[in-house]
Amino acid sequence: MKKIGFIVLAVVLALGLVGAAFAAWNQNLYVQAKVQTGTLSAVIDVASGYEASAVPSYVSVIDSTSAPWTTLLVTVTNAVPGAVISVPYEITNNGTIPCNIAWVPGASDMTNFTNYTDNNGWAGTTDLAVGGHYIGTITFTVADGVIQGTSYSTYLTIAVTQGS
Amino acid sequence: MKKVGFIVLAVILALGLVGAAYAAFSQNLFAQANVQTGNVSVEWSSNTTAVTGNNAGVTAGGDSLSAAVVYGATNATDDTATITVSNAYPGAWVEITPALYNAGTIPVTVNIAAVSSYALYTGDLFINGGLPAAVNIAPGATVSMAPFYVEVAPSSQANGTTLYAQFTLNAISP
Repeated sequence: MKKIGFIVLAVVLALGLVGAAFAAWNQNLYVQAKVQTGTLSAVIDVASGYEASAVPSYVSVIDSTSAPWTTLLVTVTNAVPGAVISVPYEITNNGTIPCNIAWVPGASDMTNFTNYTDNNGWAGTTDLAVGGHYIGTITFTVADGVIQGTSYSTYLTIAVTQGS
Repeated sequence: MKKVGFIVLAVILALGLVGAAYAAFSQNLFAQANVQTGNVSVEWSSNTTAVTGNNAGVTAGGDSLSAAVVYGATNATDDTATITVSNAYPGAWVEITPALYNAGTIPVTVNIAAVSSYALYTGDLFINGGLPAAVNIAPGATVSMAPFYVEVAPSSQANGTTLYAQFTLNAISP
């Protein structure tokens, strides 16, 4: 009988312990991640202090940009075969993360214009820190086969990618 | 078990790296060039002159020698100036001073050359003193070349004949 009483006591104590565990106060803490992404944004503009030019000099070159500042427009008049057009440009990283710029090889017109070069190196890349500037010069030649009194157009692409 | 966990971790990291590469932000900038070519267009100026004379000892006015310049109409023949010399004789010459107007939009260099197969090459006519040097003409400007002389050869027997000499003036952008 004494043995039975001992067992009952043990069971009661065990249940008591379990009950205490369920009754314990508890609280949760949280970690909330709020991520604001950076902005990759570069703009192209005429390079202040540098003039677009052509050889021979009677060929007129005007460069301009307008919002959203993603296209540098170069207007050439009175061009002749063999004329060499040089256009300085300035790229500014106005985003919030570093970027990397590089010319995309090729252009939309490789027949009427030749010898596309850039002092950045045609396939080279340049890192631009936030707020950084890069001034380069793109040069191309009017091909021998162009016709008098005719309009031609070409465009080149600068790839801007996330830097490190 | 520990080894399996390490492999799983490595795979997750690798996928993460690949995911970051594909997800990189990018943007394109452009440089666009619009190019308008110029024009080469040279016309005869009315300042062109043709003056006659002779090396035959004939006193000026003692003959019926004369010269006139006629310019082409406003078409393809406008490129031609015709100088007609009348009543020429051996030793008679015409002094031609070409004057040209640059009606184009770019500077040009004009040179002159005689065309073969005309009387200059039969010996009835010859160029006395050579052809003038090339000249540069700015757009909108008129420039006279140096004069040159076309003379009837003293040995010519082309009595009562029309003799032709033709010259090409070639205008090129410099």
